[in-house]
Amino acid sequence: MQSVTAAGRSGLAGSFRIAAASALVAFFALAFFPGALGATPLYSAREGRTCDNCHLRPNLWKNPPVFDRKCTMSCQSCHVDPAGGGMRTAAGRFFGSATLPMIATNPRPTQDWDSWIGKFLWRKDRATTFTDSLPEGPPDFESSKNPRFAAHDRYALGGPAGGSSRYAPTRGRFGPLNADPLLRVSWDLRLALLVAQGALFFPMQADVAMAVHPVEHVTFLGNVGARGRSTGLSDTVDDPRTPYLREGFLLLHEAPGNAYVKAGRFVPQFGLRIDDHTAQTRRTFEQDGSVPEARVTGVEAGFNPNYPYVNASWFQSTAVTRLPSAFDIFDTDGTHGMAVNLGYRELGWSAGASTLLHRRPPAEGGDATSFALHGVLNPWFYCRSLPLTYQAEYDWGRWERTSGRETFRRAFWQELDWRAGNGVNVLLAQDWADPDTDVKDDHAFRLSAGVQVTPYTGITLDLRGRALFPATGRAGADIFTQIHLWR
Amino acid sequence: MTRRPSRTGYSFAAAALLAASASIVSCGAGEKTLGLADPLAAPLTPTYEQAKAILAAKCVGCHGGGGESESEPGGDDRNYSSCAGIVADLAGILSTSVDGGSMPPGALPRLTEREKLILSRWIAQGAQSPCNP
Repeated sequence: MQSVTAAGRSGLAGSFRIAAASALVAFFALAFFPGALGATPLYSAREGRTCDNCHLRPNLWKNPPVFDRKCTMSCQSCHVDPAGGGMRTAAGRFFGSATLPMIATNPRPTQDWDSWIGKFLWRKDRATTFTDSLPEGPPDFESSKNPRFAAHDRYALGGPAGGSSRYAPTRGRFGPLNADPLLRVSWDLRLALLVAQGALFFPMQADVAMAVHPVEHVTFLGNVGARGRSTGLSDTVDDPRTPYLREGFLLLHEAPGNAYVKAGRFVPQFGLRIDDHTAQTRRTFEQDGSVPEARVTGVEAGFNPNYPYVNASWFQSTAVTRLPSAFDIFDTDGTHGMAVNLGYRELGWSAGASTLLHRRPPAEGGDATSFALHGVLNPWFYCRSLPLTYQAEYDWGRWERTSGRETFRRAFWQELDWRAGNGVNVLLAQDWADPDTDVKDDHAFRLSAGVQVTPYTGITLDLRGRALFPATGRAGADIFTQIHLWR
Repeated sequence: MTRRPSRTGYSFAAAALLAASASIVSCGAGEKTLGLADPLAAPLTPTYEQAKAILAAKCVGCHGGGGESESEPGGDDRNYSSCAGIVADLAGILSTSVDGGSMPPGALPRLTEREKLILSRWIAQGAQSPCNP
């Protein structure tokens, strides 16, 4: 991510305050419009504001030609899976230890010094490890081979045979983290407590992932997890799809323009891949990433230079009436589909469009053709006193009922986030869906407000209140709490 | 790389367009119930297994009688994990989940129109099941 001049920012600050105020007004207007309607894309949208979010400040750095750059606002900057989610790259791990938590274990971005909730009591952020002489990364690929940049990393070992590609993350740029390991292990555990009329405790997710990177350009990723069941812990453990292969693919990467090809089991890219799998934009459009049924087997190719992006996939899937095999990724029913996702991710905003096609017999889910428009705006990038980020997505499409008759569906989601301090994010979200536009009174909208706290690397607490307003029937509210342990 | 300020205008326009489009579409469409709009959208004679699958997915988490779930909301003795438990509370299923639309509770997604249609047809046709032949 490239630097931006202070003059450019200050000149734009006024207009962006106006724009942010407009976005707020629009948000609240929509929130109370009858029938209207922490996310990981949030980090991508938010953190283009400064280079030292993702790596140490480079020493004497000069931008290479566009197609040689490794920085991208795409998910693949921080995640091994270019579609996002799951195991993190060295940049993602650095961000998780430097920018994200209240207590940083890698040098925090200089912009965020003293930006914590106790700053009114005393000015100096003693919780971070920064010093007056910050470490700096190597200035170029050749310099990174210096032994002083050797990694000390217990979760990422070795390196690819024959050495790293020049398109791989640069050694030494991530402090003690191994930039380009041969073997990497990670986990993701989410425990949830839902309080409505009673209290319901259940495991949302329990994943262990391993990536093997034997030679440059080639990585194998396997992510095995439990199928979280809201009916309780024992149901999760006893579920016949626990464990199952959530993602498993061969990834060919480390190419100019961050180009890649992956083949195996994955979730096709459509819209913003937010981590709230209950959002109606996700569930209504078969993008609930928590269930095996969302997985497909196919090939995806992508290209993410600074800053346009495009990716496309072709895949086969199982009928919606049955679960796919836990580990046999070739267990499909011959149904096929494709997804295309393209757009432009700038440092302070992005806009994109997606389409997702399913071709299936009506009894196996029916044909579906879906479209999405999505975008984010990060006023914080333009005005340092305005740490807000806005994201939105509108989906619509045609689908086929089991009777064979076609109808349409629509959904909308938007979220406004305020980075209240280091490790503290406050959010306000709204989603809405009309799953069948031929049927009356089947739409609903939901409001959510909450706070996400990351006290230390690998631990995030998520607390939010949610209210659902169905078109008919009684409105309801609940309190959702999640403990997210990740590495 | 230097910043090109003119792009910021496009970003605001895009955000405004998204918000405006949401306003336009935020009212639900449709004039008929699913049963009238497309009677074949759900089985005309649903089976016990089809009804039970819906209850297992949407209701047993709280109304499992303690047998299949760790959660036991206070004072609830409904048990939709067993055939006898389901048949014993057909009126409750209709009033709260199908007609009333107040279950599942809180902000959890309510039953879909297809799920409601399956349950209402199964109950209207006598709720035939292994324990209620």
